[in-house]
Amino acid sequence: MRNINVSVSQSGLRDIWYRFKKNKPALIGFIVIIIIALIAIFAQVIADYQSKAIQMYPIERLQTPSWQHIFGTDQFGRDLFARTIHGARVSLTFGLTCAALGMIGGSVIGASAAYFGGAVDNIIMRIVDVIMSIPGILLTLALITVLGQGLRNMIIAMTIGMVPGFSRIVRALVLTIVRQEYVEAAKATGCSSFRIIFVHVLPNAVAMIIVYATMNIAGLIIGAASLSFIGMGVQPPEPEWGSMVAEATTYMRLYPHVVLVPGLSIVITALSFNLFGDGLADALDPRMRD
Amino acid sequence: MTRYVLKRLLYIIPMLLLIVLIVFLILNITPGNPGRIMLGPNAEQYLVDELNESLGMNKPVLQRYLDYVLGIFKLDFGFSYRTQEPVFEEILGNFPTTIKLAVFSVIVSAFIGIPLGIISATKRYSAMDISSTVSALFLASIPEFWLGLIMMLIFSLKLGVLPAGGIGSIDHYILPVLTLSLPTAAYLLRITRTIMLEILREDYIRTAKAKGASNQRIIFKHAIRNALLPIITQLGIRFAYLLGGTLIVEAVFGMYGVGTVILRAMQLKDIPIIMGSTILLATLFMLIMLIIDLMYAYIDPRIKSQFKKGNS
Repeated sequence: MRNINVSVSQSGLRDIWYRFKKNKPALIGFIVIIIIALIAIFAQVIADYQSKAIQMYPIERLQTPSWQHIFGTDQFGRDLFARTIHGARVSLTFGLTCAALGMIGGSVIGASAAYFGGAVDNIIMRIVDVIMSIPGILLTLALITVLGQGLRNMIIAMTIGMVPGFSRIVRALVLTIVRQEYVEAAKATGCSSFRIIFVHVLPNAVAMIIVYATMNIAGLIIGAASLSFIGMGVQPPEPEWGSMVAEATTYMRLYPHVVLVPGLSIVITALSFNLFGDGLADALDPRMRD
Repeated sequence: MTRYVLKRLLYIIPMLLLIVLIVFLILNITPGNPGRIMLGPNAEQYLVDELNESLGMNKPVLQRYLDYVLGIFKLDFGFSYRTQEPVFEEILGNFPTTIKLAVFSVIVSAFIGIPLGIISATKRYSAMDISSTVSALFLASIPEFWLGLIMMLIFSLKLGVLPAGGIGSIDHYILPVLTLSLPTAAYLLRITRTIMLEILREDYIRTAKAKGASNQRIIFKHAIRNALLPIITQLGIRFAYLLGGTLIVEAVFGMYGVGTVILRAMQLKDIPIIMGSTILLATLFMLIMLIIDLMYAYIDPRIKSQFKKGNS
């Protein structure tokens, strides 16, 4: 396992960037993420949502890629490029929001468990154990069943599924920090628990927490696509990569591009985040320091 | 040792009750309307109300929870709203397909992932190491449903060498098992590599080297033996995960297993099935973890001796 007893000072950030830069695959991942993010932000400028990604044109259905439709068209004659870039919006929003919310929730719960210790720690960690023994996809699906479908409920369900694992990691991180002298000093000067956790403890763990969150984004994006694929996530006609694949399976034998385009979009995005997250973790790992 | 086993077995009871409580609470966030689901949208309201009452939907949540827990001890998980069959039988009847998928997948992925992980760690930074870690990262970035569809497209629809879906012969299992195994193998490769690298840095490996042991002897006699336990733990976790995680692959290849039962129940809000299957799978997960822990204690002499001294 990685050594998680790290704290990153301001001057350390330059070190990290220097080591990260040397890792070419991670750098490529980072650049691809920026490109995808820019495309997602300007999706509406590149192709109009209503007229390009939603409106159906039966005459143009199932065209293979051409200059007019660089990714081809789908079974309803919609431009796959327009749908793909609007799909990037959904996937990125989902991945980033879930990772951020999971990170915040996990930090608060994990840090409280580690800081207060004793009975509080015991109760929190037992509940975490129990939730983690429920297969992730079942927990998410059960929550969606009771909350209803749609992007917002999907985010809530996936975040709840993520928080326990995150709490466990943050707890381990914080345990090493809580024993340091400066925390003792803060206690002695009469700081409130709240202040100690949020001002003295968590900022020292924040770099590692962000790395863990980043490493989860790829999985979250894949999870969202999988939920939509089985019809429990984002509903058609909204362009989401997973539901685009699901809608197109009947046509894939003769027109493979209808499943290749959205599928490869997921793979490229997930791979970029995986490379980026791995590179970030390596750059932070003190063992790699020379 | 017996004391340790007993302690662990007793410890699992409150944990199981907690599982039931949490699953029960999640699925009762919104009041269900099973009468409506069973009788359909055209039924008279008074019939629906009567049915809801006879099912105990009007009782307070706590009462229903206690009834449910008492039922579990008799393996009574209630009845499916849709088929009116007992939940336990509905799930158990479809378990063989899922178990076969999980067992085959764990075996296949172990045979691919573990040896490659060991080779990658012992020949660090070699072409072999780089290519297998890169492909592992790549495989971890492919959604299962898409991997399954692409394999189906190539091997069934284009080449026509394997069936595209259904259950029956062993042929039907090849593509689904491959779909589940490749990402699992990638995961095992990465974890095995990490574990092995960790062990190769240990002092006893350096000692063995200093004593002039051959490379082969160090790897096979010292490193792999110590790496095996954590690797087996990971295998167990993956197996438990696969039991609940075959849902998507079952959907892609049209195999009727527990995953399909659960997915259907989710679409129809068949709460007893969802509750029963989630509780059963979580219980299974805990039992598998318990078995691994006990195995640890049994195999590893360090843990064993700890409990002999009586400081458990």
